[in-house]
Amino acid sequence: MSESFGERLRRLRKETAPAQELHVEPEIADEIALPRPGLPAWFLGREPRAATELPRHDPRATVGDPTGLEDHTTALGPVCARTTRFAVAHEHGRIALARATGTLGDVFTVLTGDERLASLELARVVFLDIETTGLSGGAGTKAFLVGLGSFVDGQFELWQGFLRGPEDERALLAECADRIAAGSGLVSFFGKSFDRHRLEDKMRLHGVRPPFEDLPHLDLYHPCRRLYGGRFVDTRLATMERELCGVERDRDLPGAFAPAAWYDFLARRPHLLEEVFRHNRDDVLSLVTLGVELGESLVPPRLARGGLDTGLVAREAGRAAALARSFEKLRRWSECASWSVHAERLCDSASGAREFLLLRAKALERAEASAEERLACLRRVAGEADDLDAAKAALELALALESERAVWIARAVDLCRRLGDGPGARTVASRVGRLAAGVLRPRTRVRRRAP
Amino acid sequence: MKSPAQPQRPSPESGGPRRTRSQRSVPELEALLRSDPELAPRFSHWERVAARAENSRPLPESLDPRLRALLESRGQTRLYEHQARAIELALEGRDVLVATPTDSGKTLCYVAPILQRLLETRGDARAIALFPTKALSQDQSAGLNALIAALGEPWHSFTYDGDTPPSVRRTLRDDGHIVLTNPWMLHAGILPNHAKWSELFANLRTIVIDEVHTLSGVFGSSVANVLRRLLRIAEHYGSRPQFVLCSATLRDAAAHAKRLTGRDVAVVDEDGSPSGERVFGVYNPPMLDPVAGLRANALEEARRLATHLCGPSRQVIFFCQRRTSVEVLTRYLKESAQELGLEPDEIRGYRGGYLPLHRREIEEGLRAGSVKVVVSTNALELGIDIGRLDVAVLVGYPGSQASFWQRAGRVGRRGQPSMTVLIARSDPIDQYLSTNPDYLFRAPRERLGLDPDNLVILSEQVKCASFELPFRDEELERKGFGGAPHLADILDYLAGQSNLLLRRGDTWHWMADAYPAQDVPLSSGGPDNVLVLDVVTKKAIGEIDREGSLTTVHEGAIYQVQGETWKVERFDYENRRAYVRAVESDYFTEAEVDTTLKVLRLERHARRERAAGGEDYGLYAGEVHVTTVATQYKKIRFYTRENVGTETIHLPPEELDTQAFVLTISSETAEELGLSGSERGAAWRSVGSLLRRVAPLFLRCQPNDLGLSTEVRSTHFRRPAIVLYDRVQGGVGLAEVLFEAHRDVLLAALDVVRGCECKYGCPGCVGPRAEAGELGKPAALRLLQHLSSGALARPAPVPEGEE
Repeated sequence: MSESFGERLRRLRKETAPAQELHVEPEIADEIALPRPGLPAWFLGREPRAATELPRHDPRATVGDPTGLEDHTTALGPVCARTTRFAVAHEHGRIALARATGTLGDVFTVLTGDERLASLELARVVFLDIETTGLSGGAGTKAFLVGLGSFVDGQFELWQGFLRGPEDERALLAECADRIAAGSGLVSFFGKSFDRHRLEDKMRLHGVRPPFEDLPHLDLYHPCRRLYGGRFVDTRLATMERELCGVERDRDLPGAFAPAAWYDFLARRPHLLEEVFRHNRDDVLSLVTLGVELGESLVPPRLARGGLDTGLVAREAGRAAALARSFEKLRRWSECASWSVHAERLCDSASGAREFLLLRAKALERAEASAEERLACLRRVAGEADDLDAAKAALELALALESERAVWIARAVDLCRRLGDGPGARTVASRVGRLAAGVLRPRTRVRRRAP
Repeated sequence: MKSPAQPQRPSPESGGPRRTRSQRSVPELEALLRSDPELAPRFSHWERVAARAENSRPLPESLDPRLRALLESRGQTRLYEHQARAIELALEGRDVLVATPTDSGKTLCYVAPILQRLLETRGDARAIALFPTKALSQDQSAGLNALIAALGEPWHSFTYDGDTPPSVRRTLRDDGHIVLTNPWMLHAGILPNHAKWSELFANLRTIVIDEVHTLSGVFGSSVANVLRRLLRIAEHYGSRPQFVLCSATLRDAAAHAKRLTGRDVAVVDEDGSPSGERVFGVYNPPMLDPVAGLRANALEEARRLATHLCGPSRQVIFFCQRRTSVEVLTRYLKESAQELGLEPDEIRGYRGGYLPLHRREIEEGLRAGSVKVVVSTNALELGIDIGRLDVAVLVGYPGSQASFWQRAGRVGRRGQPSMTVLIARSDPIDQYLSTNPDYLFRAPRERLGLDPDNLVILSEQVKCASFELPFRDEELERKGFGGAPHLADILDYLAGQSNLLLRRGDTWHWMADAYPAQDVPLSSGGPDNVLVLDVVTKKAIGEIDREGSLTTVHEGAIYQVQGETWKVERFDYENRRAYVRAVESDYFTEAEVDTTLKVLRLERHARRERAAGGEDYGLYAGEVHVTTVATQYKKIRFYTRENVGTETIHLPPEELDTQAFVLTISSETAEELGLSGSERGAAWRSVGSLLRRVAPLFLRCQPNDLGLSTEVRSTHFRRPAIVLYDRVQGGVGLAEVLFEAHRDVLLAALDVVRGCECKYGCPGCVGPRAEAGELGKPAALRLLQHLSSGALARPAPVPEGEE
């Protein structure tokens, strides 16, 4: 349910709800309609009175419209937005926006398994990030600021559609639908789970056709989690942009403050919407830099184990491991084999290294590549330690080498006995038993599936 | 689905070979009980309801040929009269309520219209069906899908509840034609996210609500508002669905349906299904000690009767009021299985809290005949299919006529006699029924209190509705949202007081970072309830309503759960939390409260004049303000009841504004009846508490839903007054119903006192002697006799100075 989703989102964003810091200007508050006399007195005491104390003043607060808003009229009503243009030389973190114009190949297909992302070009997509009146979803939650970024005429253009009042929601949504559909794809962070659904729900409610169904959507959260999950304190956008792209935000207003800022604006109180616009701008720019950075994920690591920057080594080891596993899942065996080499080399534990030796042996076999190299991998795994991987390797060797079969069967049997009764050991033991009994025939590797 | 021409279920004899025990038929069983020298006198009444012939006719002409073919292929060539009528009305587009007993084939009454709409629209039509429990909706979904498959159509029905995995919800939303859910899920899951369900709402043709007799009081009033929200969202997407409602037999069924749905609903309540002869026995456990007012325990008596009623050749169901009673009785019966001629495995308990798989197995065993005895709570009262059994034993009156008949409806195979035994407990209602069994067998007499316009419930629901779709002036002008009064006032209030809404132009917009349905409960309690937390484990061990918290979780109170004692260390009144620590306490605590009642406004009045002029007695209905203050508590030792200390309670008063029913008598009348001095106080109090206890006979509620204040000299009325008030903030219509039904309530109270064999009062009538006083019983008897005989009170304007 939406509650648990909201909680999850809060956890992901690691934000605490803001303390109520509301200004109420008494002379404005008086404009609000007073309860009519029709209700009995006892009832009127039920609802908690909204905060009326004047809290300490926030120097960032402004009054009235946020700056730079331009209005235009659409068939469905007025739409107002702030447009900001950035030269492509603009650097966000240590990455220039211009780098988004290169070609990507199928890196995001590898990282997400989504075939539709194979032809994605960052120069032609729309980068999306929204600010809402709440995380819980549901019909009453509004997207009051929709940030859409795209490359236009050699510049990066950030369009921030702003809901000046709840009555303009339909026009804003229709405008957003058009602008999103104009791109060849969509890039967001956690947007497949949040932003897209907030917009889609509200579009349906207002009878606006949602543009999302036919649009390739790259949600950078998922590649981040696959490549670097568990590597940093969390997988929030702020963490990823700092760690991967060197983006440092200055006095960023957490997204959880956004609803109060908009409500303050509507009630004509001093508000922090300028900060929300800035936060949203930085989020969109980070989508570009993070897209560039992740787009280069297939570049081989230029690091060796024991390098000085241990954090960087660990990060690259994680990337290599994730890619080796991704290519395994995609059955792209030669890439799997070469990323297994990196993963094994960068891995900081011997057992981890053997895991990738074994994966490399599997990949080499499936790729019908060098048998010598494969056997060398297996020999190392089977010889170096006495674990389940060693037993598996011994079994593979017994199957592959007729001349040494007896030796490797003996090694595998011995290992299985020592490993006891785990499910993995049982499987290996049973196969070794069948091999020894002549029931399991040694493979002259028959391809089970075309590579 | 039940139909007139269905094959017989396997008889219980198919359960397997066993030691022979008497193969008595139900009539023989009755003869045995009526002749048993010990048991016979305890049966205060036997009622015989003759077998009823089937009233059926061919399938309605208006039914789609494909549906007719489908039913015919399943051997259903005729329908019961009520089925045929309901289907015809529904197909005409009318909103329909089918009010017939359990197992009379109500399912078809909504299944046929739903399928017909689907056929007519080539699969575009959608339906929502609300069931009170998950188990029921799962049962129904399987049946519906089988029918759809038989039609060869690619449609789906599915259950959508808390158990539905999030991963499949999306598919269900997009591809489901019939959504089977419950009021809570509709309220908190579906309506707030209506955009995700836009397909459903745009094509919504049918809303089914099963068991609408359960929709009364706070819950029913809330559900009525959820339905207002549902209709509003449907309208937003351009649909106007019709209602098909099902319920047990109801008093004023049409009026109830109208309050619930806001529409004029056609009622079909002539049951056309056949029934074998039915025998009912009312069993009153013997008075063991008339002086102390001690009656034999009903559960023990159930065990005793079981030795006569249970056996390998028939299936028996016992209904208990509480889960613990189910466990105790199941254990008793399993222990005496051999004596009953049964295997222990043939005797099963059944209640909420069992795992679903376990429950399905018992249900299956009941259908197949392999389970011979089942002991259940109300969990088996609703429409779960367990087939019909032979004998039902109700350990205690279930609190409402609808429940009584639902339970009794579990027995009676086609063409075979069945028996239902009601065992009376030591409780005024049960005792009333044992002396006035007619109550049970005449038309239903209890009224359902339902007030969708209760200000508190309405305003909470308006929050939810505002979140879903902003209210506009135009909607209010055409009396939208069921024409709820005060709607504009409530919206302005929510905008002005708490900034939940913002009024811009002609619209109130939702303006808060909140998901209101999450905080709005459908039944009483909810956010106002006090959570009881263990300070050690930090876990909640219980919950208490706001008013009850004053006397049960004040600091120093001993809080008891299932015999374990906890001491309240801190009561955070503001945040509705009580922190307790487990202790071995040899005493418990009893708090004293001071209830003051202030009459705010009296709306209705009726009075009877004395022959000599002046008031004899008077009745009022109106608004009151109740202040309850906990003053002090006593520590009382367990068993000896020795008072080991008294302490003061420091808590703010609880305030309640609600509707009340007032009964007054003039001082002259009191004098004439010989009520004077302390005797009058005790008698007046015991009459008040007795009225509160028997009110549920005529008013669907629990005694606890009514608050009571008795005053021998009321400050407002300046004469003796009994005030019964609705314990829900704002009231849900109970007081109004009491005003209407006061004569019935007084007569019932009189019957209870008159019929009770105790000498000085007992829990089954005016209360034990310690409460009612030595002369409490005769005084109460005189009073009730006077009030419930002679001319009726006549409506009169509220006297000046009293309004």
